[in-house]
Amino acid sequence: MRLSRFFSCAVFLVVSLDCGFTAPVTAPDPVGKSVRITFLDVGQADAILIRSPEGQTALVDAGRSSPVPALKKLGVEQIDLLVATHPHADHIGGMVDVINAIPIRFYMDNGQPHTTATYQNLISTLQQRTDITYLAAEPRTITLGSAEIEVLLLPPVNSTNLNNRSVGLVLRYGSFLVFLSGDSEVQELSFWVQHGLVPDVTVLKAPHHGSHNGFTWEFLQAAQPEVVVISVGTNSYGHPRPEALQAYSSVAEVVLRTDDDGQVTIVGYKDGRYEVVLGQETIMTGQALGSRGQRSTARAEAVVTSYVYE
Amino acid sequence: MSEKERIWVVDRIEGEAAVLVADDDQEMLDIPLNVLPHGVREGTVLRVTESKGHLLWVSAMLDEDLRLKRLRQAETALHELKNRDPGGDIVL
Repeated sequence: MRLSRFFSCAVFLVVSLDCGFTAPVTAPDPVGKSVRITFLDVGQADAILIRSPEGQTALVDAGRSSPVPALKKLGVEQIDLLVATHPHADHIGGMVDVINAIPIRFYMDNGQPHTTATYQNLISTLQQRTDITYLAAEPRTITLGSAEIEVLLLPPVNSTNLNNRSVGLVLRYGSFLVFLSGDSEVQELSFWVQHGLVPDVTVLKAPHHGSHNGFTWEFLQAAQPEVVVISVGTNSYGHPRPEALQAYSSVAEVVLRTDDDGQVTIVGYKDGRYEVVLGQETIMTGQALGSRGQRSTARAEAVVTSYVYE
Repeated sequence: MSEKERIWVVDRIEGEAAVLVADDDQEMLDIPLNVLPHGVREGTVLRVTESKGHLLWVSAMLDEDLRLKRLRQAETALHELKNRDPGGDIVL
């Protein structure tokens, strides 16, 4: 579903249990006990901010140009983990600005070099900044307070396409899961499916800006996202492609795109509930009920009602 | 002197276009692959003549030596950075 600027949504999920009776879902957690994922509106690029319930922050990719003003506006004063999913300019272009403007504790990338000035400047900056701890993107867990980021195994080096070595991350906060994988394409998505590394998630960042090669049906069947967010701007590549939009719409309750919806924030709760927030203002637009654990034994139905923005 | 040589690098391939980054790291251009020399791929370093403000893509030449040099330099830097990795799981 594509949301327009003047319509918003409240999504109520009821869980129809196998026994046939419809049960209301548990009460919300206390205010503040949530993880927030913000997809910055950075045009045809990626920059995704993760904030743990305890205040730790991670930034996954940094757009083509500086995302610092947007981060400052969100009150980000430190980034505990900065991730470059892969060294293309639309993912690392703003990295040096971020490193120079905001204290960074850890930096992670896939260890694959590139020859652009954008990459050379970044790697040179990192060499000089000995206060930043480098982390290789290898299977490991990064704990951000009560949330965790699982770093996925990367496929073997592919010398012809850096997209297919994008760092894959699964953010877990209880039953709320988010899958982020830069510009991964069919080869890498299939590798993760074959290795059983794709869990049933709540939120999926559409790989490769909604490209035709940024999904497979096997991947989507494994991920089963309720929310898909496409980070996309004006482009001549046809992103997002109609077949990708159709695929996402067929599996998810909501498909959002930053070119139409602007900055998108998903607030996730430990029991798997989530809220969709659009724009700079905290605009509560929806609530989905039903945890991932329940989903395996229950059928979730989405009822979209009362769209009210701003 | 209205003619000069500039370096552009193929950041990535998007469909039938090469996305090029100038060596000033400011300019980016999408150029159809069929305009560029045979063998262009991700990471290719191109030397392009600029005449009177116009880039002459027909003049573009691959610089394989510079591509390999940059890769070697980056690999050395990455090796140094990896020595900072404490290994294992991380608690932030």
